[in-house]
Amino acid sequence: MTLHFLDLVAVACYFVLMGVLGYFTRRTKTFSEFAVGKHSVPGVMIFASLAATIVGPGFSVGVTSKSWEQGFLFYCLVVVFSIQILTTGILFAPRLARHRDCNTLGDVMRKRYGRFAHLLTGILSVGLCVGFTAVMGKVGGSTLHMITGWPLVYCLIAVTGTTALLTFTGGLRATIATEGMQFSMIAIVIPITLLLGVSQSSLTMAELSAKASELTSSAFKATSGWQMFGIAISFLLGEVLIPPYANRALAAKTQAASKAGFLMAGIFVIIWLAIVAAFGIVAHGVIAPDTAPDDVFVTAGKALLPIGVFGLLLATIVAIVMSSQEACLNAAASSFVRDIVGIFANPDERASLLLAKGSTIFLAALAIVFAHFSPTIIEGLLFLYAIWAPCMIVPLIAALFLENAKPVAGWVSILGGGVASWAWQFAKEPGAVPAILVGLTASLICFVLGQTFGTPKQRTDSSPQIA
Amino acid sequence: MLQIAIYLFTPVAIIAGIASLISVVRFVIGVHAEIRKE
Repeated sequence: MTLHFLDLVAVACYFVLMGVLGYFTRRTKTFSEFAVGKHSVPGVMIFASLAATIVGPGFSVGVTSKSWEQGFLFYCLVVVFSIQILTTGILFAPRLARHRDCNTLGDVMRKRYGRFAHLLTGILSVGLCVGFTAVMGKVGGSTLHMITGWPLVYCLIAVTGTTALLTFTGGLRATIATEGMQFSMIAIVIPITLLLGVSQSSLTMAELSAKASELTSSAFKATSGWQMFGIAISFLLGEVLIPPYANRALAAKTQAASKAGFLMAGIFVIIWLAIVAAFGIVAHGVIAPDTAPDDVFVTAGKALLPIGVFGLLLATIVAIVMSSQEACLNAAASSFVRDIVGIFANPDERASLLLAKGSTIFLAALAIVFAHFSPTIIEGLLFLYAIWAPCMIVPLIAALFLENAKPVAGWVSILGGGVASWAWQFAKEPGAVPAILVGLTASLICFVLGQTFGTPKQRTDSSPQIA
Repeated sequence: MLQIAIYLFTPVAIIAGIASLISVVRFVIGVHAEIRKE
């Protein structure tokens, strides 16, 4: 793709802006500042940061490519994701925000279930966040590759490396500041592009509406009920309380700020997904019908936007990737220090901070390597959902609501759910029943058994199972 | 659905973006002032 000088200037300005924001918010003195911003973040910033994290490549470029082919069918399936965020806002986020002494989800799990569950949570958190960083990094690297023509490996390093540097220098507050700015870009540039698309489309609004109906109904007929259920359930449950979201609940200034941030983000998701889905349909009146679905977002943007402003759209795509990556890298580094290293050693504040910063770079490097092997964005997300949800949802929700949860119930539920989901996926999901559902059922059964037959927790900081 | 997305949701998203921009500036100024004070 040939770019005008002004487009390249717009992309360069974006990176300078991120650098400036990182500079002004860069100092972190303690691990708590790095991990949860001293529990001092206001509700509006929780919202902006959370929305920027949620709106990754899957919920922008991915949804547009799907709606180009399937009309509003994919929107109807994926919009259930907002229920998850709203439920988290109403039920879970305020309860998480109560744990002022906790810096990670693992800390919360340890309070209920002891050290072994803490360690398992840490391993899952780090694995999930590195996986997300890899999947996002591949999209960002491919976009940069398209912009510059540089070899893909350099582009992967440039995108994930820049994100790692921003996260490394400033911790969660710098991450939240840059994410807020990225959210502003996303929320302003993409809707304006859609409006331009409507005004410049070769099709009238009535014709576009007819196209949307035709695409949606033909996609509905071509998709089985189980397939639709599987996609919807994955988006409904797959990201419940994943570490980047949980860290924002923990970072909130008050319980009310936490709740408000999640509720606003949940409502924004409904609006946002409709906008990017509409963009995929409006694109039919803007670009050639043989355009590859994955290229629709960028190709339509290039056709619609004037020189220089198109560069802003490309910068926005990079922002979409980087905002999600920043959140995941910060959560991964915090979890690595607290939930994995912290199980075996007890580093002081200064050592923890240094370790968190060092692990940010190390985990980013790991994500760059994994990015080479990551599948397409939606497939990658669905795979990661099928691991996190079956392992963590049941014991985590129980940890927030049950005062007398038993340690064995926690770790048996994590292992049972994970093994069942993995085995079901390995068996190619017999009967098209989603692995996430099988894993969740197994996790629930294991939890109930553990809670029924397990012994109560004796001490506050260690689990009798591995003592 | 298409018309709701275009004529209702689009302006709402742009307003949210502008509100967020103002909040970010205030947040960054606050954090920077705190850092300087320390």
